[in-house]
Amino acid sequence: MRNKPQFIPNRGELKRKAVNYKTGMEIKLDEATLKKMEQLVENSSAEFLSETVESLKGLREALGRAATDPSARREVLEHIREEAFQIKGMGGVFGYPLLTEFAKSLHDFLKELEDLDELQQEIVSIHIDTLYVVVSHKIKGSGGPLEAQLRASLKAAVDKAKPAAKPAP
Amino acid sequence: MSEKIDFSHVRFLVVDTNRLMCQLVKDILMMLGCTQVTTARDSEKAIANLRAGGYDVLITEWNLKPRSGLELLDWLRTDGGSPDRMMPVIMLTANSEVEYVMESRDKGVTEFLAKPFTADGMYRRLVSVIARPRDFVSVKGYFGPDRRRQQIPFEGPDRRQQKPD
Repeated sequence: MRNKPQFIPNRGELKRKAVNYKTGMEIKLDEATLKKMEQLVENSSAEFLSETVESLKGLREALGRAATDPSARREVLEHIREEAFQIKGMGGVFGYPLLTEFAKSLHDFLKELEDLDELQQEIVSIHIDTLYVVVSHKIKGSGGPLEAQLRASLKAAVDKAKPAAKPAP
Repeated sequence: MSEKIDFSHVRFLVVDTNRLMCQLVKDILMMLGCTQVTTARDSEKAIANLRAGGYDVLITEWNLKPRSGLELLDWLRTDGGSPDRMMPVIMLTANSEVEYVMESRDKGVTEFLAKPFTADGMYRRLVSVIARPRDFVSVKGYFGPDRRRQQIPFEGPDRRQQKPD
């Protein structure tokens, strides 16, 4: 490392290995290939949904554990955070943007937490229920009246846990 | 004749804790013609794979254990035991907020692709790291691809072409 930047030319070995004028596919992605890629994703969609159902079941059980055993709360918090992160990343890939949106809401809610008190457990529970609704109804869109209703109820729940604003002096 | 890209000789390492995501990325790569795709579910396995050699491109999630994907990237770019400090790295992560993009960039990521991703987005990143290789910069506190990629259109006269008075 040095103070004066040193520029290192890229050797271009990988490009030489893969880019040519004879074999392979057009660099500009064509419709047919894009369709095939999208079909691949679609083919895994059912597996994603069934894994998400299992994940939500696991979250429901974990939440029950946190309610009865306060010493398990931190571990449960970590578990829920991890699952929320996974659903956040995967939902939209498989055509369920609402799963991504609601899992992000859950992940954001848990981000700074170090414990799960009763109110926070309730908020998590509402998130899990809402995610269930999306999965069980296989809701693929994000702009209809049901989606708006789900979004509003989730927001109301999260707002409940926010500290009340201080009155103006 | 137009430029083609042949993925069949490009060797990929895909690292993600999520089995389905690893499989999906692998399936997409194989569909594009890749023949050598390895997956790893944690960063230590990834490092062991990289140390063993034989990879051209690393695709990694940020959220890994025991080291994060960012630490994995840092290891690849700066560690004496790194097999290839200039290996292209695509950060494919659900840590999609802008601060994560900036942090990855500052650690020398080649491309950043936020989850949820689209097939088109994935393809563009692959083409970018393979067909549009960037020079590297080594400076105190940074080793990675040249980060100056912004092309700003300028409508005034191009004085660089004028002879000095």
